[in-house]
Amino acid sequence: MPVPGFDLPAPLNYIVRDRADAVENPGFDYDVLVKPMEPRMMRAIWRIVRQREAAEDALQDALAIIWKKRDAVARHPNPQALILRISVSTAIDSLRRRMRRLRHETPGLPDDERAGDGAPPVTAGAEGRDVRAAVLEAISRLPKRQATAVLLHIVEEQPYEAIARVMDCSETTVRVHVLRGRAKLARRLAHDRPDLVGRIDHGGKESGS
Amino acid sequence: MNTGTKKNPEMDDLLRKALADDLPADVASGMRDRIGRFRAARTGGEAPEAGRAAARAWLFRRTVWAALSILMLIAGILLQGARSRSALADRISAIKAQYASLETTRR
Repeated sequence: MPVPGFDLPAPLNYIVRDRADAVENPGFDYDVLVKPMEPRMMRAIWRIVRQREAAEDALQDALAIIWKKRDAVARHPNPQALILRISVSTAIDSLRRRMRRLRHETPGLPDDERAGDGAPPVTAGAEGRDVRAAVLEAISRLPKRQATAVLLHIVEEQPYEAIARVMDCSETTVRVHVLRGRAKLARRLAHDRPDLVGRIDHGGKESGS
Repeated sequence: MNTGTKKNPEMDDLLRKALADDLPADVASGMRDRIGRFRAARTGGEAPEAGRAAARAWLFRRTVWAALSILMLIAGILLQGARSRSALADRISAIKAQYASLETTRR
């Protein structure tokens, strides 16, 4: 890429390439793109992580990723959806790490008890906490792209088209991720908590009508 | 494959309820602190980074190298013209002269 003012031999171009790219794409403005999304990022991360320190770390990770990809964020047709996707994705990473650690540390405990470890008190009481723990445990066992699609569509209420753009895949693929993720969640919850999902259609197959 | 027509509203409701939007105020405050620290670190780090990039850019301009070459040439000419003396150079010259005269007398 020719850089005005810099006439370096090709092997030395890497020295100024990053800076030159940033100069060519000056569209990233934190106050315009990220600041209005901060409350939503915080809520999206908290919904999944449910631990103060871990949630703060996940938020910081999300901000670091946004900063690193700031040119892509600025150029994206829907930067808000991309920021939300990055937030949800870092929150899922945090949740999966915690669940892996808990499974490793307390292999004898039932899944729902392990998932509840460290969770703050919930206003809905013990039953609400149990439900949440079971759901989080089930989410942590989903493949990451399925979990991301499920959370963005069902919980964050993003349309398929927006999710497809931020996940860099087709709308059909997103629909399949959501469909399969939802079915796996239902099956997992039906297995772990039959009392909880007795009324839910957890169908044995994902390709039903 | 049927993509997306298999709705499960009960499952969706369960997910939404389980992952309710109930961010506690103290957690929100901690997260805001993190955002503030992150922004301060980024804003503080940007100026030196820009300065370093500018210095590198300045260093690699051809005109700078051309000017430096001319300055070195002028410095060389001036040093030659000034004939400034150095004690070390004088002693080395004297030793070389003595060695040459010794060689001559041996022959």
